[in-house]
Amino acid sequence: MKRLTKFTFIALLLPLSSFAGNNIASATGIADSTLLALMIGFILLLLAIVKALAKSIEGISKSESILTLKSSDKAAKVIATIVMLGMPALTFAQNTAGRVSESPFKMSDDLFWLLLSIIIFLAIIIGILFRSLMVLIRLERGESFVEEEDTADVFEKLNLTDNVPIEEEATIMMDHEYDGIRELDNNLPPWWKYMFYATIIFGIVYIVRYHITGQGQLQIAEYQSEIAAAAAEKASFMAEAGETISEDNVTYLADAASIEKGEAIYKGNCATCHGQLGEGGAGPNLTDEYWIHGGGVKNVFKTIKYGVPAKGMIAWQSQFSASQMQKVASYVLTLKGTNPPNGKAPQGEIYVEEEISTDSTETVKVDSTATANL
Amino acid sequence: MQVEKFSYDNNIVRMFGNATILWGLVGMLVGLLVAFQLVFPALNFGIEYTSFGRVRPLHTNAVIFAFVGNGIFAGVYYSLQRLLKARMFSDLLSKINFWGWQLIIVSAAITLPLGITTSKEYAELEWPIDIAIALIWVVFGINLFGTILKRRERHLYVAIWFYIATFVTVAVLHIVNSFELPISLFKSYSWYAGVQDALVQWWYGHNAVAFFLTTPYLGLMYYFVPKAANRPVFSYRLSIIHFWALIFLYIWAGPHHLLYTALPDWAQSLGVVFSVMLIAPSWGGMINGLLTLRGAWDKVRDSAVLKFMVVAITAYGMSTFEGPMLSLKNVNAIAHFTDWIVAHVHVGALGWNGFLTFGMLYFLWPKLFNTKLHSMKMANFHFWIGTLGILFYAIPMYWAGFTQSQMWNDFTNEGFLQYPNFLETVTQIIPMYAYRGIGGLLYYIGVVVMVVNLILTARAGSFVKDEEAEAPALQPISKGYKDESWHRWIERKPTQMLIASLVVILIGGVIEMVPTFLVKSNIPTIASVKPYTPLELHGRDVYISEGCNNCHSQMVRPFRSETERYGEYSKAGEFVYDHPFLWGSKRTGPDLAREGSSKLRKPNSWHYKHMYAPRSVSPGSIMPEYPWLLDKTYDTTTTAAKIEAMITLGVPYEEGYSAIANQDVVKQANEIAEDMRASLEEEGFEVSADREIIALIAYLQRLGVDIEKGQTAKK
Repeated sequence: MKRLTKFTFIALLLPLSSFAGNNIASATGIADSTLLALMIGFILLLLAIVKALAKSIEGISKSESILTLKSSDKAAKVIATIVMLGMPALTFAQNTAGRVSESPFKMSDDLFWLLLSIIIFLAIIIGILFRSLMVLIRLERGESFVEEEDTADVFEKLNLTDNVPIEEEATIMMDHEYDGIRELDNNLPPWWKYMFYATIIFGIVYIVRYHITGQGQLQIAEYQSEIAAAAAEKASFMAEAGETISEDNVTYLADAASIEKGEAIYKGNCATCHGQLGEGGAGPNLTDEYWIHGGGVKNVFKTIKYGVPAKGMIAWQSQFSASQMQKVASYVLTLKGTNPPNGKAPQGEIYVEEEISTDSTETVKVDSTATANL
Repeated sequence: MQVEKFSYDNNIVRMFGNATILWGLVGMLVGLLVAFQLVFPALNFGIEYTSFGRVRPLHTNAVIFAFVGNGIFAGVYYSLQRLLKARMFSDLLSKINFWGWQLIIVSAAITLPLGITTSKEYAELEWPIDIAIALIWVVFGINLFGTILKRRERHLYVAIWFYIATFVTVAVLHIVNSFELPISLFKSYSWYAGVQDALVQWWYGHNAVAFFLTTPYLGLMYYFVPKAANRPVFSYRLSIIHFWALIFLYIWAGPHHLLYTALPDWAQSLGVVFSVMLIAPSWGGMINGLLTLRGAWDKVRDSAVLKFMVVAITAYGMSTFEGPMLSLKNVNAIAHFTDWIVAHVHVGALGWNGFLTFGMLYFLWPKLFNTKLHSMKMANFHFWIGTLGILFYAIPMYWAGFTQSQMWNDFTNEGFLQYPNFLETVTQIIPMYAYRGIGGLLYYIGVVVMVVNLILTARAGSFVKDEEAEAPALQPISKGYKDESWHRWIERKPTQMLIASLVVILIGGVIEMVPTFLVKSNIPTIASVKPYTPLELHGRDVYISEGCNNCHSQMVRPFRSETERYGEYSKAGEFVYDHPFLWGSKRTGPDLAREGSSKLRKPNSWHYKHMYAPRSVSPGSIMPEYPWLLDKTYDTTTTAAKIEAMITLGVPYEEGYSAIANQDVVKQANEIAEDMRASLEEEGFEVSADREIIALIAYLQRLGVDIEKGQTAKK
């Protein structure tokens, strides 16, 4: 069991090394899809072997003569557990296979390591199952089961703790003591040693991949591919979404849902300068009829989108989508005439919607301080 | 062989023990305060001396250097004498060590709330205190080495190797990181700038963890665990390997605090791989601690000392596994700047340092007072409530870290940030901050119970001031030992041990720092990046003094989520005039590296109102209010000295500029004041150009401006 634990540990660690690099497929020189198909095929093959082995073991261990033997009973349990643990891997592999047939998709680095780990894991299971099967067969034949010399040696070598039992610790007691503290001279635990080696190998591989062969992406390259991927994603989304809203075609949204969404965005982002109720603060009052950069949904949308950086109004187009800005602009227009307390004095000019201005009134330029005195 | 009679100095151990307890109570109480300030900003009390930015460094300094520091001295002074069969070299030096250290702590406790700080984390104290620290540390070193030289034990036990490495490395770290140019008694500028300053700082910062919180405590573990369990140490061989590997590898790992920053890639990668390689050497200590308890696990149930130590060692194992994982760049991308890091360090601090200290105190008190521990029940209560406290602390912080990181990185289908308003990502995790505070409170209750228990223990016994002991004198050896291994040899050669440790710890630092300082391509300059105006320099000093960098980073990492939110990622060349660097390590508030850029620039009056009453413009914000910035004036008499200092440090102001710099101060200050006067006076504010707030606004509005100018020029 100890051996199994160790191998499993290593197998599980393997995906970690994927941190170290990219482009396995290109490095190996095999086309992505071929490599993928090969690996999945191999996994299915291994699974079939596991199943066959498990079945034969099950068959043997059910026979009565064996049941009396404690050790094999234990072995059967272990194997059953392993097989059960293997099942999720099976479904996973099938899922992956299913996806392949649907779309010609690329072998990613993570996937490679995952598949490799599964293969190694399955190989370990097969090894153990095979060994158990041999033991069972021998027992079935009535041969007494004696651990062979070399097997024992291997087992000894793989002993993960490799320490001297407490009863025998006198043999490795050092001959010194400090204030009553004595020291044993146990060997370095092998699992610890292997872990240390593994991290050193990781370190070397990491440095080689990133700084010598240049296979790994350093941070700026990584950033650029992230941006490129995002741009592509956005482009395909926008292509599906159809026409986009701009200051030329934006319209006022009167429905309550839109206004509500606009209000939420306003409270979270705009209120800090324009006040919770639009009364103004660091930014101008939005509830009066006066506009510095023009009223009406088109102008307000434009001001939100491009900002007025010189006066401290941020361009929001990088933070909000056009439809979000449309909702905020619409909400802002609903504030007109609400006359909140502590309203900031008007700034800019009275804005009259074009349709109305053709009627009778003209746009009047007003001195804001004069209006404040009115 | 002649047996010599001597006595151990228990008095100094008791003094340091008492100081550990006292400063533990103070430091953790301050920790509770800052924890709850993040839930209830009113707990900043609107007073400058108790605002988060000033008090948080007080907490970290108090628990690291006062609580753990005194704990180290208590444990070292106790174990060293016994392991060497000798009284401390000099009782006078012991006393100087003690009172000097307490004086440093008191001066820290006074200067930090006053806003006297260098801003460099865990090295905030100003230059006169830095010098005092160096002197007292040397006193400790002389005392340590003096005792070693007059020892009655030929070989040095593993604990002492760790003490020696601690002494030599902390000295190197402290001196190198504290290179600063004073302009007055309480103000200095870091010798290094920008990227270089960052590298030195985190070489120091990380190794403060390594050589102040780890190696001395491993030494203590190697003494107190086998003593309390009465079991032999598991493996001598393991202790050799893990000791040398640990001190060699640790020193390289600093750059993992700077992943995805403007630090050159190669230095970052070294930080990654050496951190990963640290797992095994760190775990070597854990294994040797835990396996020493083989065959003594039944004792753990009955011994308060061992119980605490087992949890401490386990916490050590957990955080030294988590640390390397956090050093992997893809994990770090998630965790850095979030509360995950806060959780990580507190597992180490509360679990490893805290619990090991408690275990040690439970061991020491009955010995020092020659009696039994007053109440096993109280100790058990302390153990359980302390453990619960750690869980209540850590779990919400992990949760908060994941949550916030995810919110920072969330995009809509249209390619916009899901949560463009940073505040949303803060208010989301405030409940987690509350749970964390409760966790801290539970832990604190445990400490109080321990203190009562120890006081009652002391009352019940009688203090053994000088503990009689005897041992044979050290016999001279002429030719060494036959068949001696190299390590047995160095174990009886303290000076060689000291030199070997020094060499081993210098390698990593030298290899990382020298090229960063000397090879120009590591920090490509940017033509449009110009020195700060004198008013901005004053503002920068306000920023430092208020400890803004405790909550605000100035480092846009090259991630889509960050360039979308803050603008262009930060470049090494942007920081060449930053003495000290102000990248920060935590984003409780948003990054400010591009605060003045057109993307993020807010009106001057917004900043004014935001500093005065953050919640009036950002409801739900947990930023402290800074009303005093509207009243306090910046000191124009120091302008010339500041400019001169910058020139000395290599900032290219024109010659003779220092004499006329104040004209520019007045001009820029008036511009800012005029810009907002009308709108602010309407709201009842009285705007005056000579106030700190004006300088701070000037500085904030400058951030991120230069690099943008460069691009406009290019276009």
